[in-house]
Amino acid sequence: MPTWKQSLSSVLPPSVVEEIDTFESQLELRKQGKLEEKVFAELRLRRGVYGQRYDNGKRHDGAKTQEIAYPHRGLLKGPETQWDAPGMQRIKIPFGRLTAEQLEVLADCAEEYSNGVLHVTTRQDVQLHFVDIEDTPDLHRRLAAVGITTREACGNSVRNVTGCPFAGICGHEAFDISPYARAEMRFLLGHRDVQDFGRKFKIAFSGCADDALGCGRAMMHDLGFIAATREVDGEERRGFRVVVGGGLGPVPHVAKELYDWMPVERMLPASQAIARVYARLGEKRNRNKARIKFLVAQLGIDEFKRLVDQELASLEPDERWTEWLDEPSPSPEYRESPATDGSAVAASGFEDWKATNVYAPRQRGFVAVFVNLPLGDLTSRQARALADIVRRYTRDALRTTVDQNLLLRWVHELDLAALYNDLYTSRLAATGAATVADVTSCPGTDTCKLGIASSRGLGAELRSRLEAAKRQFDDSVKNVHIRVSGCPNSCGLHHIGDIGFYGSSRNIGAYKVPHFQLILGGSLENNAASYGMAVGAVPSRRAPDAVERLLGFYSAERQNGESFRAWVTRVGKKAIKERLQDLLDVPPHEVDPSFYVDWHDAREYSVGDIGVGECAGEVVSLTQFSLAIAESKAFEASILVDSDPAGAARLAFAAMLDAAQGLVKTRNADVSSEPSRVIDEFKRAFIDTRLFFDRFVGNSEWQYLDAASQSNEPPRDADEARRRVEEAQLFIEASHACYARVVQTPRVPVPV
Amino acid sequence: MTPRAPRVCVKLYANSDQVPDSTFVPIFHRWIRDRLLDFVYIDVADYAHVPGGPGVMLVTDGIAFALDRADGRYGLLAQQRRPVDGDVADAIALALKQTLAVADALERERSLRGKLAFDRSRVRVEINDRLAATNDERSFRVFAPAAVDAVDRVLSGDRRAATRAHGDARDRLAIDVHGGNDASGA
Repeated sequence: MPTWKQSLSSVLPPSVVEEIDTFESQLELRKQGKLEEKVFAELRLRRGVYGQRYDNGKRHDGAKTQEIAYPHRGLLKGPETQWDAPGMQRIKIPFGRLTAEQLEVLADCAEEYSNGVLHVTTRQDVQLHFVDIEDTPDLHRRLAAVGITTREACGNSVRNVTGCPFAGICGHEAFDISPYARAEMRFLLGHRDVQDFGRKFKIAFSGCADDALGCGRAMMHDLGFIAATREVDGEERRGFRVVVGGGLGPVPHVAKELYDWMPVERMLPASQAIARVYARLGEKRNRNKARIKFLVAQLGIDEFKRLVDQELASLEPDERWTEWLDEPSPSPEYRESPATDGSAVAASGFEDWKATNVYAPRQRGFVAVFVNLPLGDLTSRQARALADIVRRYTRDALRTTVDQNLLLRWVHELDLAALYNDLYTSRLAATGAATVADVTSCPGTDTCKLGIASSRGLGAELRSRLEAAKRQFDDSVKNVHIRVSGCPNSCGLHHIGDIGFYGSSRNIGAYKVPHFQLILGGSLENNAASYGMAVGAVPSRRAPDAVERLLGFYSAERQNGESFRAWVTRVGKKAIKERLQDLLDVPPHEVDPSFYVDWHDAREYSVGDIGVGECAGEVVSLTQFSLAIAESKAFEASILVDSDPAGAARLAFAAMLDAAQGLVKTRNADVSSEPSRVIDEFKRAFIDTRLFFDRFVGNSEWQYLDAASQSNEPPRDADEARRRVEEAQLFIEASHACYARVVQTPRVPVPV
Repeated sequence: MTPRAPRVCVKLYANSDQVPDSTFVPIFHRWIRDRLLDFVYIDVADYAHVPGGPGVMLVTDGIAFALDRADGRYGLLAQQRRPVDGDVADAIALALKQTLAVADALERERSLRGKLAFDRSRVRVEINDRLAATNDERSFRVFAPAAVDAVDRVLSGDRRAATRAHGDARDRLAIDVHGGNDASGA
């Protein structure tokens, strides 16, 4: 029976085949103990293969910690991370654009490799949970076959590039940011200048300055592009206001303006220059201070700009900066005519649904429709139903949103009732999208190792209560947004919620009690430039009561239609806290033990399951990466020796080049990938200086690379191929030993 | 190398749909705490908020269980999480044995007495591997005998029959094994 690797090899671009095959061989090398845990962890994170709660093999059962007897104890996929433990696969959906075909493949993968549920995140990604690591190469192949990548979905690199889901239809936008977000994503994906960061790097595109719909959120990102036009020489030109150094996390930073306006042609070189400055100067040892926001704060924006400008001026021109500008525009996303004659009679609930889920774009005759996903989740069957709906009523694509919903665009008004009926049949017609009842929540203690309290449990409870009270239709409170994180790291974006919560724990007597820190005063205004602050910790069981009370006060007291944030500012957090004071107490355990159990759990609450998070990835040097890739290629070469001696020899040579280039990177991070240049620089830096010299074997391994580089002859037979592969292995071993010596001795610059 | 069978799902249908999803949360957590049944337990996952979703799942190493409504009928769905050694009949038989153990345990739960019972006269088998099994008559003819063999192996009674469950062509191949005239476990 063919494998997915065989079935899809002719469909995938060769570079993608190599990429995934390399990852697959890295799994094998890890299992054989030939790849260090920490290096492998970062390699898999850069494929979006993430850990999940309990992957350290321990789980608190409410009374004690139990060991989880995974079959291959001792085999790890990262520090303290059991190989067999189910993990999470993060899947990038650049600027949220998803086609019907991609939805169907995601549905298939959710069924075969996960639990049948797709999860939309607050960065427009899709995540699958409870995935076995052995399945991930095939999962990646199947996604790649429909144009989806998981590359750099996690780890210390550029994460998913987000963008307004209303791009192209928004009445407020300066212009459609979609092609620019796409270009940014393509340019930076795998780019050498984004491989040496100390932490993750998040980029967002916003179509408008005031971000009227709250979907761009540029000011809370490491790098934000806010669309703006400007007249230059009598001609209206497209460009961006560029902001840098924003970020939420435990301590949020608002981004600073780097350029008040930059033409679109400069977007990619500017991004590259910013990346190079961050890679060069960003913190790498203290992970808690390694985001670019700390570098910008430390240097000041003026100095940071000076460094970026300097970098920009020294960059080697790259035709990729602008060649994408000549690409033809993608075909329009709308159908020329409605799919139906408009005679459909809508099922019950249509008017309510229309009141909250339908948006009028600037194009007359069309509407955009939100699909409100509870906690960002939908089933594989619902995904297929949506694929059918998208094909039937639009031109094939939809968008994920940062509020964990989906947006169908370009729906003819005439089709609205029929579309509603189709959504209704598939149970995708929940009302209240982007209203108070549409609570945003990170995975929290359900699956995240850092979760402290159950954000999804609270989110579900709030949603249920608010829907039951029909608050999504209550004009006085429906635009209050609630966001819940399981810990201070703000993956649930609690800082920008009107009402935010993040998980915490308090000791009450001999017990631990789950709490949520209440955050008030956040806002989406001005591209998410205003962050809330903590008011006080509320027992998890009382958090819904606190919300109901706050909404009640606000509804009764708002003046002249003031926003929730304005009301909070006017009344004052101190006064508000006093009015919630009675909710902050925890009754004794014997009086009400429910306070000592978190939402949707049954165990007595503990913090014993909190583990080491992988959001920070592992700091692995460029050289370590190159050596790991060299190992992978040598491994693949060893498999091909009998069936394809010439292929084995080519891979063996490529492996040695990777190892050599890796060593050169300790001297010159910008070393070319062109083989003759790699060898020249390697010879100058490591052979002429005798750095590669081993006192027992001399430079014999160098001779393997030297000989291979000078010979174009394929191996005569499998024996010769085997010999070349073994020589490559020896060269890689020598490279490891050389690297160990290099990192221990002071660096002496070598002219290159 | 020992052949690995494609992963399978197995479902036993319930006699009613009246048990709230939340009921299973404390039950499954207690099973983990007390190590009821011979599984390597990992966690309880709550998807009760997802319409037509898996409800509350009990995740173990190797297989996950859910009180599921995905095919429009309420029942206990088991999904193998990694391939097992042997052929597909072995995989189905193993999954079914494990599902029956969970079904028996659920029926014994005091809080569920009289509210939940499983019909053992009909077993749905899904081949959870689209490369191994396309959802068509050809694959049905290949896998149906193995499904019947496996169910007969585990459950006593007369030789069963298999029919193909028709639905969305994009779904997994689903085989209903029924008959047997004896709903008891072997």
